[in-house]
Amino acid sequence: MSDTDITVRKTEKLYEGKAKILYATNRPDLLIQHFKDDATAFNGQKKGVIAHKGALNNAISSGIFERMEKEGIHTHFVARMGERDMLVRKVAIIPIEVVVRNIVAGSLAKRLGKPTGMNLSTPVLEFYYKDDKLGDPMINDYHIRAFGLATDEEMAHISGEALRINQWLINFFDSVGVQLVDYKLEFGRTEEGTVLLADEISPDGCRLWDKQSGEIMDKDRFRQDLGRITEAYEEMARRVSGAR
Amino acid sequence: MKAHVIVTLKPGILDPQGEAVRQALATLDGVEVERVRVGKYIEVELGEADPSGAMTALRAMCDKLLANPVMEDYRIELVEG
Amino acid sequence: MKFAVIEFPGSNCDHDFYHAAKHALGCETRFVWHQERDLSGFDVVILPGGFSFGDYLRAGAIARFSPIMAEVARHAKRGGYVLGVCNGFQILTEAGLLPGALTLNHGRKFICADMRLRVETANSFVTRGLEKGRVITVPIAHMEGRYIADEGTLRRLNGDDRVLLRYCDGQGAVTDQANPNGAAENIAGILSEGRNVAGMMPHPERVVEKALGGEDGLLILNSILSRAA
Repeated sequence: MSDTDITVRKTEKLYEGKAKILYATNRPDLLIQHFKDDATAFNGQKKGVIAHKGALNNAISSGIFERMEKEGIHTHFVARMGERDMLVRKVAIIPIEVVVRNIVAGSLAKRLGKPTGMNLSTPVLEFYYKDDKLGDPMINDYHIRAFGLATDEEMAHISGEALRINQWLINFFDSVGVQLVDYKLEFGRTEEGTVLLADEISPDGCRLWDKQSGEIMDKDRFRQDLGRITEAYEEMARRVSGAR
Repeated sequence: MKAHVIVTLKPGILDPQGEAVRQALATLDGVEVERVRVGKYIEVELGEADPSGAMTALRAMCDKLLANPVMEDYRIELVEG
Repeated sequence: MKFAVIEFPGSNCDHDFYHAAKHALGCETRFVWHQERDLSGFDVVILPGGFSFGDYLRAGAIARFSPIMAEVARHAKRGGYVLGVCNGFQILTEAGLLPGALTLNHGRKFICADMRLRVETANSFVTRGLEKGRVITVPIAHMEGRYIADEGTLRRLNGDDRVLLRYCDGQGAVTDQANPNGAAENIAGILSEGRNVAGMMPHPERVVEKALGGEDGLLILNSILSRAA
């Protein structure tokens, strides 16, 4: 790497996850996030492949991040690179999954015995400790503080950002005819200590229902064997790319 | 830094060219084609070394020349080198 | 009144306009090459029709970066008259001097034909010699003349009385059948907010004497002179 190098390329594989591979690049401050077709559910108990999912999720995530950046929501996104790669700022992922809920579904329906589809009067934030071996257990602010997962200041920032992002995403998805039920966000720290929205925003990590038909447009189609999975991801990619 | 820029007509803007292509495709045997939209593909090579800087420059190029914001959307992809 | 006819590589109605301004109107007229940067002394700037820069990328997209265009914008800002015809109209929208855009005709064909046009306002430097509602006949010759704009822009154009001409039938009715290219609301020409920049797809310079098959173009061009008188 030198100052005159005007290319970006992958150097080594840093980490392979369930749906993505993270590569180092010839730039110390940048990583490449590669999207795979592999799909898992129920913490890895169900495994499969959704054809073209990697390319579609990259298109959806890149499209959303690009718009967010334009409208003042800071993310790790730098650029889309080809079909399956996203160039991102290097961040240390904070090991907390932030789940934002607008409508009752999934584990919330089960845990609190509330009917799926019930509108929540206010968005609900939940935190989960990112650890596959433990099955990503739910935690609260006290666990986060006690185990030093993030500072109070960071958590205040993350909660505020999550709610701001939620309002933006609700409006965005509404404009393309989709209800945003619930979803997962991840945040990371840059070397300078700035906390940025990281990871991806795609049907892998969101529950998305068509506003008109109520049709499920996300990974629940895979979890529940509803069929037409690629088609649903394709439809989401089409709507995101066509949005104003 | 190399980049690919893809310019497409905004949804709702009539695309007579796409429709002509669709009609031509309809004469081929095989799958029925419901809709075709024709866009543009542009390759750009920049001297800019910083990807964020390159993206900023490319967005400006798209806003000012490569796409007409009245009727077109664009998408930028950096190319791994 | 002194006319400047801007010439871009690929302009091909420049000589027609020169002839119309110089001989039909009897005004001092000069060609101005697109790489020049000075329009001082000119009253009316004409962006003529043609295929500037081969219509590469989009009609008018490249031309608007020519050095003269900064001066055209300054001339417009000073309140000077600018008239873009056909490719000139396309250049003015690309340059942001007029709102909206012009794109491929809905029928995909290059159309060269006489058009009936209804004058929508007499409150402009190109129609003040006409009455609102009058039907004139002027030819079009274009492939990318479908005027499009978002709803807000169309609302403003209508509300501010900035639509110059609409395609109509012989009785002056604005109908889909009379719309040659699919233009929004049959719009054939518009005005800027300051009313001193006009764009139109029809070619008034082509009908300025009997020998050319009509004189309705003179009604438009004479309007330009009428305030000066």
